[in-house]
Amino acid sequence: MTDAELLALFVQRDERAVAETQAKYGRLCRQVAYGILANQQDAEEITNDVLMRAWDVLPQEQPKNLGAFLAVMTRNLSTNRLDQYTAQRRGGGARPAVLDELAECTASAENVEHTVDARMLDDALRQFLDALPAEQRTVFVLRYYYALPLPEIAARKQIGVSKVKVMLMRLRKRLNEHLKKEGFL
Amino acid sequence: MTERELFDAIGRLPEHYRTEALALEQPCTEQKNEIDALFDSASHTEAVQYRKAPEPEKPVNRPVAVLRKTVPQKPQKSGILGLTAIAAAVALTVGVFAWKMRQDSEMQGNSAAMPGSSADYVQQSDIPAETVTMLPEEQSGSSTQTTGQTDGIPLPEDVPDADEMFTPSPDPTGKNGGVNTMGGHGLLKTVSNTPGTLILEDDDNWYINGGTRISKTVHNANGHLYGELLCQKPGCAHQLDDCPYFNCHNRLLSDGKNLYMTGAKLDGVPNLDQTLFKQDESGIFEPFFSPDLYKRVITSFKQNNQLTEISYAYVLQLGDTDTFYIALRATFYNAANTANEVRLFGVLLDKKSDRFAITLYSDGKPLYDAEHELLYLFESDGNYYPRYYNACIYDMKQIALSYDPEQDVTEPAEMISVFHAYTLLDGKLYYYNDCTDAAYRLLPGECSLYCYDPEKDRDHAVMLLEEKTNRMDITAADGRLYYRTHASVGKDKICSCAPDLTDEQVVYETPQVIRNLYPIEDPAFIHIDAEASIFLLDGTEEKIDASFYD
Repeated sequence: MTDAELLALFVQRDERAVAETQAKYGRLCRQVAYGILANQQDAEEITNDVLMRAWDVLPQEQPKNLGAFLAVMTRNLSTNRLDQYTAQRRGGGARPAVLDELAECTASAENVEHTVDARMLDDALRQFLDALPAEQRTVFVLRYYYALPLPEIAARKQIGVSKVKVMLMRLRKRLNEHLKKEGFL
Repeated sequence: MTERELFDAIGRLPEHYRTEALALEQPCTEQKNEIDALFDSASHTEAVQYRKAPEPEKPVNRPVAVLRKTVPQKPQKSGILGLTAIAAAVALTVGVFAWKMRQDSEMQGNSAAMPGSSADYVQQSDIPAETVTMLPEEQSGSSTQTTGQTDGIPLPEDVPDADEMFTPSPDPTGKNGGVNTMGGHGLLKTVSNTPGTLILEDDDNWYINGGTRISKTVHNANGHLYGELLCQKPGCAHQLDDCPYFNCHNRLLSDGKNLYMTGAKLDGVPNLDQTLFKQDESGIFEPFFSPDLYKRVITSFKQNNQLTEISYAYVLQLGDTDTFYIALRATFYNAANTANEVRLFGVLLDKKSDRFAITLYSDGKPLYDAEHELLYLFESDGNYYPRYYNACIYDMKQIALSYDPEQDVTEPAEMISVFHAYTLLDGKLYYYNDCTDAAYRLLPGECSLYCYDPEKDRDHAVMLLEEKTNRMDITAADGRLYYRTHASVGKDKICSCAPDLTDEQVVYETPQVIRNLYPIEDPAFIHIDAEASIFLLDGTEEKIDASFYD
């Protein structure tokens, strides 16, 4: 079923919309949520929440890319839950792998934490991404925005998992250098 | 700045970045389903439905591998098994090496001509060369039945039943004093296990790369220890299991400590049985997998219910632990009973708890640093020689936790690019960088020698030891690094030095070109020169006439 057909079902308030969306994008949502929360039960709950919210908002929203729309919603809900867990000092004890990886980018030799202007950081990040070839940029976003697992990224990009690993490792290193150069580290 | 601030900044990326990344649909249904199976536990409907897909017809009836043995008359034993004798034995390696290479080329030629040969399989595969996932914990409690369902997942029908899997060879090896697999007496032990070289010994003989048996007691007219080819059948192609060369060369694996018997090694002929045996202390090859564990491992490969054949590349016990790393190749068949792809797997097995994880396949010889509990897996980056590897370093302290399916520790702790030669010494990895020309030919004197020290922080773990080094074929023994140098024609040397490259000592000089250097038994070494002669390097030299093999 195409995105347009799915959106039409939502607009018509046809309950098949949820089931069909679950069939098409449920796995993507679970992967995004799992990548951030590192807990399958949470991933399932977040996915259900996303579908519920989609049912509420999609008649008004007409996203160009339904998958991206749902994935963004999943990321936001997952991040909120991660914040709750952090505040409550629970969450299964598992730290999201993407945060561990991003720690490489933020590590500096002096190990001094700077107060970061969010807007400047956003600009620096966009500069970094704009300078990348499309393949590297999309791999970066799939991993660190959507928190997708490496085999999924490899399958989507039709490259080997090891190439994804190496590419990400180099991108983290380059991002670290870029952030140092821009004065964030 | 914290990683969370960066993560949040990424979360504020404009829409066009996000949509660009997700613009492409999953390119291949098969890959999608593979990822489904990787990510989803059995509780996920999609994966279960997928695994319930009709299974294609079994392509062939695989014979149960049974090692045949020859029982020659037991030669007279000698109590003198000194290092010189060992070295003299291994010194014949070069002849065997040349012979083996010739045989291998013949076999490859034959194999390439065969439909569905292993070479064909690899070329036809378009699946990413390795897969990383964790197996659901709930599978660990699966049924031990040979048929039926396990947690709702139908077991593949072609998993060999217990009787087939564990039908022992009639006499896989003798007990102490009995006749073993190689036809000698006593326990088979590994003398040397380096890439390309497997030298075994028992009470009577040394066995060089499966090709030659050298008696420890019988000398020829020149006073040298007497050797003979294991297979002396004229015109033998070494592809059947009644060939002793085939059996030794294709079915024995060693991790330097344990000896394993397989259905087929990677460079052997596929389509044999899929089992793996490990030699116990009394010399008996016992099934390595429990029936339940074997089924769960095999089931994990059969995400699309295609039929599978397994061949093994490496087995490595991680120190004295109950954990084993196994690199293996699974051949899948399509509905037309044609082998259509090969997937490469690495399996980490915790024999104590019967749990396992699928991780990176190692093309290169895997290494284990017991001191730091680090597993080094080497994935080749291309098919040319010399090889480039992505060395993925796994912290086994983390991997042990990863048997919990809710923890994602499939990422290696560290990755470095490694050129073809590497060795571990005192918990550090020594390796070269890329130093080839455009045609991938090695450029002696252009390499840089690096050291990876896991005790240092990430930014400083990789150290450049020497630029444009003349050291080649680096290997470690006796607390020192050994290597060969090629300053110019007629000035080849084998040298050793301390781990910090100081205290260089020339071990051996030759006017010949030294081609290879293998550690045999600390601190003995052999090298192979341009004329296919071999010298023992334990402070003495003993040249062996290789004309025997012509």
